[in-house]
Amino acid sequence: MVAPVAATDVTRLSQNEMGTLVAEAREGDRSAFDALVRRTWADTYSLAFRLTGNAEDARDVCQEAYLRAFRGLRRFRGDARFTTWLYRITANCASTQLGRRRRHRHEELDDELELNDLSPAVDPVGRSESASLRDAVQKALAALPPKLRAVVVLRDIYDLSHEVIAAELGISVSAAKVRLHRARHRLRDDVFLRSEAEGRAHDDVDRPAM
Amino acid sequence: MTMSTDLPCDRLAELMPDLLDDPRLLTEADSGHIAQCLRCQAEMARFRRLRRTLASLRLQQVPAEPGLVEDLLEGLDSAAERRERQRIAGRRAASIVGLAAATAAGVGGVLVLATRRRSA
Repeated sequence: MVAPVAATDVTRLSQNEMGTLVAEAREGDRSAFDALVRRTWADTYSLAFRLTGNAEDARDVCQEAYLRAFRGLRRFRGDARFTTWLYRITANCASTQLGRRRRHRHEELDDELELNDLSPAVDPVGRSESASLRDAVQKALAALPPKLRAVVVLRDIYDLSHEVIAAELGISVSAAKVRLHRARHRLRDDVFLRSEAEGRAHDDVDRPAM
Repeated sequence: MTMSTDLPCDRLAELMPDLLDDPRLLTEADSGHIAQCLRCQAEMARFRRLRRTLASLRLQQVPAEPGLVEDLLEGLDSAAERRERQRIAGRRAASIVGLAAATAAGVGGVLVLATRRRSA
């Protein structure tokens, strides 16, 4: 389904470099906006994929997000990071796309998610978590209903506030909190309780009969 | 340490997902209970581990099909061209309307003058 992303395409920019490109793009410099796309597309696509659960929708969401960003760049006030602003747009586009999908067909989630770990050297916490735990979390995330998945992805992976999440998903803050609560409970059940139960069952099988 | 199964554990288990965002939800009594309860400590550890693992996913990117970035840039090119065409078409339409209005005003003026001369 997918091929690895070339690491050179996803080079992260410093905030200063990003700020300069954003300022130039706001002045109408198209090449500066292209540079922003080249630097941010892998992150944007990852978020879109995590929200929609499939490559086709993620691609459409990504395209729509950059079109909206391009049209709305003059309205970007610069009081938030450009990437955070882009996450908000992507979340909004994904919400629209999922609504459209729900009307047309049943959800088909792709839980065969491949990942590129781009910066393990600067991520001591992430590195310390076992690969199997990350796999389990990925699978549990993919199995969540899209509405629950959206809030937990935006809050716990992309660190957006409850207020921003609610605004972009078109729900109330309290609804966003309720969904997050349910999503975290389900993830905890899927990731830990199931594996602990399986571990106990495995121990029982291994234990010699008395 | 005790392995408690009383009500505070159930109530706190329900509260755990929200504590990740707001630890102030815990009362002093709750904190005291957790300090002595292995079950609650294990539950809290699970949620914290889950949160750390989710946060670590931020640094992992989902590989996309080759050519995605080129497609994105082409999409932007097409949108920019469409917008430019619409701008030119709008300007052309405005010019035509302006020209038609000027012509109508001219013709009207001539008619008015001709009518006045005839009546004089």
